[in-house]
Amino acid sequence: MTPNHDSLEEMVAPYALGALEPEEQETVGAHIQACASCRELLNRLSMAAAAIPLAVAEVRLPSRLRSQILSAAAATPPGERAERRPARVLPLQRSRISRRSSQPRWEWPSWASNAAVAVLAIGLLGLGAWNVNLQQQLNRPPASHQILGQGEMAGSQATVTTVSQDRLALVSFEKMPQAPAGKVYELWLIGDDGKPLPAGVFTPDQRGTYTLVVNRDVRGVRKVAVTVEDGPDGTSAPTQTPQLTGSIS
Amino acid sequence: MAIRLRQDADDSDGAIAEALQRGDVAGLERLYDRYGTLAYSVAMRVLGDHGRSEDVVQECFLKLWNSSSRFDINRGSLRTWLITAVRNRSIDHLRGRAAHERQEREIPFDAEAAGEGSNPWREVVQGMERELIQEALERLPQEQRQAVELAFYHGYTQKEIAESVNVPLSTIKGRMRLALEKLHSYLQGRGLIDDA
Repeated sequence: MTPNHDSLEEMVAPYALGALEPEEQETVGAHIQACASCRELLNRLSMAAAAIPLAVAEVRLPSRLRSQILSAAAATPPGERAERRPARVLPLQRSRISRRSSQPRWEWPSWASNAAVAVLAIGLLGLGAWNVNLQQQLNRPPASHQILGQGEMAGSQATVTTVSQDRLALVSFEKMPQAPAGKVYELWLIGDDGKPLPAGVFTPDQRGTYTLVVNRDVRGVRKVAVTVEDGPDGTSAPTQTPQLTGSIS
Repeated sequence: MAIRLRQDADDSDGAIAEALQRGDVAGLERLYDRYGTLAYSVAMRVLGDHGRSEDVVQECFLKLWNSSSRFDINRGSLRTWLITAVRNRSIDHLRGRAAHERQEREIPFDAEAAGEGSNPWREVVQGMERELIQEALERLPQEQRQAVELAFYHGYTQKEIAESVNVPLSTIKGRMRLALEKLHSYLQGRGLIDDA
């Protein structure tokens, strides 16, 4: 029996809260498309429902999650994002975390394994719309270099991951001391000519970590260095000898 | 009548959306810095498990990244899209459902940012916003709040809720409707929801 208008209207609130069975949701969704008054009711109730999660008590984010997400996204750089193709996921190390015993320690979403299969298939077959250059880039693991701090920055370190030679690198800092008040850290890229080019400023979080995205051509870059400069924008040329520096070539 | 939820104290969500559409990772970085904590907090509220919450948040940010070329900022806010996706995916994890079993509903309203301001100001406004919504939820009669929370944070259907609290299904429908109407009215009266 086809439900009447009143019984469908009664289900608009459960619909807004996602509390219907799939078939009920389909029925109510179709009705809302055709019924202006129920559509208006849904707009009103959905607005209230959308506010509910904004009241949630804040839980501190794990610092590693930021670099995991940005690295995975960067692995599918601009121009390579096809419709419905998920981002490739970089094989980043996941630190130990407690879980419920019934849960697997690390279970990639199903699309991640699909992406891995897709990338492997591209590499094996060498066919399709991808050109040879792109295939090589997709199948090549990102180059990674470790750099260490000295002097006042002894103990600090950074990992430079070159995702795409001509476009993108990620620099993940760890154990960085807090910059003095009014100061920021500034990253420099140094090529064969020895001239440092500014590549971004940052302030590490309370744990001394930060991941900086260098969205520019990094071909020809031989070294990276970090100095402390005036905040919030840094400078166009370093004003001190870097105490965190290393080779990336 | 268009109904709009005031989203942020600045209007740069549009700039972030444009950066995402260009495929600029810096846009995703800004989005994460702005809403990562909220997304993770929502996942933790549903799942109560750090590892699974991380999985959900990563999945949703990457889903947004991969579909950002199709995202229409005029159809809804980034925050609403992201938090809705995190809540839905968390419920899927909780109930052992695969993502493809869920039919994602488009955001059924327009949303726009209100005013401009610095990051500290945005944080202040967001803090006030959170307090207001908490207050609105606390003012609901216990049985109405329970119906909403069992659906929203535990993923129960209306029928499951009716069975679990042993009341007729029509009562649960009514409680949900009344709760959402009161929430809307309270937030609208305090300028958090716009009618235009």
